[in-house]
Amino acid sequence: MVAETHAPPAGVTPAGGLVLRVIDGAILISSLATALVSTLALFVVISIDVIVRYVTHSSLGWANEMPNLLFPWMTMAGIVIAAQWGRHVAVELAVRQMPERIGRIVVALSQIPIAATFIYLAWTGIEIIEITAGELYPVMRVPTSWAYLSMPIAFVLLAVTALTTAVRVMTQGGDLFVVREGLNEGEGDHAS
Amino acid sequence: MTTIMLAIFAVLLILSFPVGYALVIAGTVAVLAVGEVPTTVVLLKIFQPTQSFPLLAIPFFILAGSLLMSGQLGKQLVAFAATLVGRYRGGLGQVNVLGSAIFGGVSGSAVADASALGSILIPWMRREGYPPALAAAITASAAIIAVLIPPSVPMILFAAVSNESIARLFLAGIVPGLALTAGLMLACWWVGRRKNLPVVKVERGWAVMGKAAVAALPAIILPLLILVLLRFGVATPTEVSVIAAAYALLVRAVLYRDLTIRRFGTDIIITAVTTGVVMLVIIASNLIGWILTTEDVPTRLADWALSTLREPWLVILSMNILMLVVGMFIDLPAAILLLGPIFVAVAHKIGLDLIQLGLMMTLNLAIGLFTPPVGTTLFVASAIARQPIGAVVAQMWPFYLVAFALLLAVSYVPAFTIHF
Repeated sequence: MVAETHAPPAGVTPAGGLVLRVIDGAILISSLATALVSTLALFVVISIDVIVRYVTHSSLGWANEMPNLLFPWMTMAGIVIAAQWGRHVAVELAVRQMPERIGRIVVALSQIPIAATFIYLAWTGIEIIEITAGELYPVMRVPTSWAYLSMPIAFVLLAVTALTTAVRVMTQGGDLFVVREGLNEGEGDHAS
Repeated sequence: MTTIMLAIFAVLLILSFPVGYALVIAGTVAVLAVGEVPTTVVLLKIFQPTQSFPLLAIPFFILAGSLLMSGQLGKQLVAFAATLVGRYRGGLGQVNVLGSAIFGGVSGSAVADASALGSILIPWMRREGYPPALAAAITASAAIIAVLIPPSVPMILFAAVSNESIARLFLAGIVPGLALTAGLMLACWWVGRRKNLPVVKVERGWAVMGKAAVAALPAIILPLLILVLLRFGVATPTEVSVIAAAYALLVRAVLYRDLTIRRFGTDIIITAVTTGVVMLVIIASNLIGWILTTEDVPTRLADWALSTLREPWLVILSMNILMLVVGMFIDLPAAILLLGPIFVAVAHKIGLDLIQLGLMMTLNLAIGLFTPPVGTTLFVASAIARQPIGAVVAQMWPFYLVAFALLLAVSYVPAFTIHF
């Protein structure tokens, strides 16, 4: 949705710009869909549980377990969208003092350790999924690895987002901390 | 591990890495470098907060606020506040403060408050002849009332690190929240007299006021509903947050009928993204907190603080100064999560009540939201008013004064944060 409105980044070949847009667009659309579904599902499940509890004074077992499965997916989708929209809070002070060109190089290079860390964590995550594949949620009879799976997937997407961010920072004009379009100023930052 | 971790974190922060990323990288590298624990522990610590039911209150309070304020209700609320206090000196400033207090009962976020009320009130104040920088200064400072009056996202975070009850923290926030409201309104009145700011012409009379009150009623009922449900233990904070979101959905869809599917989808996405931003910091801080605790850092720091400073009042003063410095640079959620475990250990040593500590941390670090160089409500309000940060800060001192006076009261007068 949002990705389609991007103008091709200046300074990249049209084909290169297209690849960037396709990659970021795919990441964004899949995480937007995940966020929408998991948030709505959490809303509905907890509402049902509250109603049932106050009517019958007993809790639905599955409704108690669902948040354990859904909240990780909502969290991880939200983290990826926030990365795509450049919403994660940074202290930009020092880089803002640097000459523009140096600042761009610093921000682009900083994406490498970010990508490396998340790839490493995704790799470790696969190990955890193998361990937890045998653990079942007692009522739902679903393996807990379904919840853990959100982590390695999100980490791979975060790593890729870091790399496309690096390319965008080096090839696009404009503010070096704003390389993609997102929602309006302030709309995605209601946590403090 | 702690030394490596802090060094890496500091370097990455200066290089403008997002705070959450800097924490994840610092924690992961520290665990890898020392090699004493399996690296799967990193993942388990990162995953742990997503299994917390209390933290689920954050997205749904955000959703409730976003749903209620994105419609006509925001304007009704401002109109209601204007009929109450608009006619006094600095009236629109007072409308802004009072609006923040009512809005604070709907939303748990100062930044949401600054952007919602700022976009309505800053243009209005400008039209009435307020200097735009002053309009931004009032908006940026009044917005922090939202994190004192329940619900409050920072208090949920403090509850998570301190194991205190969310409900008790929320209830303890009411008195300081109302005191800040009164103090800032007084400051607006004083500034209004001194600068001879215009008085707004609003229609007066009981009928007008009554009509405005009825129109704003849905926003006024919600905080009361939340308080009653929590005070009498009818529902857990997470359940209350979902009830609040359902209430907001109902008000928008049935009462105001201005909610489109598209707008609802946008509100859901805003909720998920905001949750993502704060959860990244939470999961990363959980990892960092675990590393600090395995190496006994909070207790050792607490012992050290007590043996060097000796007097509890001096310890409290030092905590406040440290928080003011940290709060200037680091955003409120990250600062609460990082300093929380250490300060809780300190509070245990000097016999400081944890609820009082929670309020002190919330207020102190919220002041960091409108102090330069890095302050989110300051940035949002300055951006709406199209004013340089420096010009806005120059108008700010009466409001700093009020906030610091309240901080002193919360820090040293336990009765101020009394909880029921």
